[in-house]
Amino acid sequence: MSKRDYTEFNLGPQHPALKEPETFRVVVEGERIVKAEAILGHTHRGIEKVAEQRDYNKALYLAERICGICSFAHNANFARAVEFVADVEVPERAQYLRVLVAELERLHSHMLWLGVLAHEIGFDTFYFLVWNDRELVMDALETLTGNRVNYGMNDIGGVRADLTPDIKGLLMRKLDELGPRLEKIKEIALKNKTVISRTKGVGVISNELARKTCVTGPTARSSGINWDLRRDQPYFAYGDLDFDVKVSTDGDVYSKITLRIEELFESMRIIQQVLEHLPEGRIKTDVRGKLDGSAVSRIEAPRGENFHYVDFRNSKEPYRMKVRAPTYANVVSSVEVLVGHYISDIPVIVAANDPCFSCTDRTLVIDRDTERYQILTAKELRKLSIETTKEEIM
Amino acid sequence: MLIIELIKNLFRRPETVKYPYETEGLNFPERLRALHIIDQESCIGCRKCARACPAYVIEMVPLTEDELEARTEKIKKKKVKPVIDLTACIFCGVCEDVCPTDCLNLTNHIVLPSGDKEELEVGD
Ligand code: SF4
Ligand code: SF4
Repeated sequence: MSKRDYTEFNLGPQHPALKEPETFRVVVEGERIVKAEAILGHTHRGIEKVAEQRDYNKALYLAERICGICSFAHNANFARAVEFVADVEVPERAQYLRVLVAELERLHSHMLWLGVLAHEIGFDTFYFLVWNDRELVMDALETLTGNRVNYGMNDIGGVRADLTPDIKGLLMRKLDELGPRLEKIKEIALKNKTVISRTKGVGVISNELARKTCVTGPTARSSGINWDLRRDQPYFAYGDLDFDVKVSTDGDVYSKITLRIEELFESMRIIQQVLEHLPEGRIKTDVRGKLDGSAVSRIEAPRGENFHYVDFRNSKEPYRMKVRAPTYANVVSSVEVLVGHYISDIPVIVAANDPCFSCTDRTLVIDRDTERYQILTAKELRKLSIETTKEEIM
Repeated sequence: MLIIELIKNLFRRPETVKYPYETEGLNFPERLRALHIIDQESCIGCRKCARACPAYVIEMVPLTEDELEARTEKIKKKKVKPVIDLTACIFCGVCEDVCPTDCLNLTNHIVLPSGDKEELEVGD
């Protein structure tokens, strides 16, 4: 570099601002960032490989543990992919119940994110306020499914727990209580000076950059990309439900806050409709025996588009399972956006995408003899993939 | 807006409970999946739970001489019994779902911490 004074330092893997281990290598000139790079791989757990040794009923619970926040999204997506291969029809009631849990999950995930962001901007009062209200949703989920995080709600071919009148009444009460509290959260988030000064105009992801880096979910929608799988490629029972997809064009962190808050209200609307119009009937179709074939399933997780691919070759264990979590698509954009900002903005910008690194870490090569590990670059990965495909075809 | 909240908070009851010193106010829903109980008197030793367990934590242990003696008419063919290692259990409840005799159940008793690993083996 030139005569100017540049300093390079690593933020992470154990940085107090980021709850999960991930490294951001940044080059700064004074306080300004001139270059940034994300180094993924610290939480790689080899889930895709482990899934290949388990039958689909067991792998379902493994898929649930890819992420602790959108556990339902992964679990349901895997189940849906397997259902495609098995070619079974999931009963309508189960489809509605899946929407119910998915939207409750979106509520708790967005509120969790809002709390984390409030903490990152140094506004802990707001953080506790939001997380306190989030407990209502957590209680609802716990009562309905039997657990706060890994719900174990899905089975291949349907769901495991039904909605009883008692639980329905409890959910309605919780939602009634949550409504006014969300209004309050909205008012604080939109009017508070601290929130505005730390987030408005910060970390702008332009529409062009959003398209270039292929971001998904609320990150994409806040940059003017009008895309939501729930509306554009309806799955479960979303096709029967009435809701709006919110879009913003500003692309900054503030617009991500407003957008996610709007989405909270839409989720509430969807849940109300599900509770009112839940069809009667069975909640599960049995799936048994070996499967043959492959399928892709995509659903809109709280953080964005979640992708699962499964391939069965006349077996109960998947021959291959592939997962792409939304953060994997979103993290690239935050790295590009960091350039030009101050060091103190790093946590805010990174957190704005609602990153989940446990979901994301997937490519790590470990040499068994030397116990050394290496993270593959895109080029190396491509080369490896071409070689492996060739070998398989031969 | 926030100031009003802060003042109100001075007079509100705390939202948190000082668990484990207090348990009042804690809510354990019926469906909560926690501590297992196995009724070995009605378990027929069919191994279905062990085969279905996604975490592979159910071990089928051969019955001791005394236990073989004590078998009732209902379970007279039973030779093995399930023992669950709760330290690695993921509390999914699949074992409960597959059990044909309904003798394995997950309760909503969540207080599991223990200094002794043996205590966390259910079924023995
Ligand atoms: S609840 Fe525990 S013991 Fe039962 S199937 Fe799940 S992991 Fe296995
Ligand atoms: S499935 Fe039930 S009856 Fe069969 S071994 Fe397990 S606990 Fe016993």
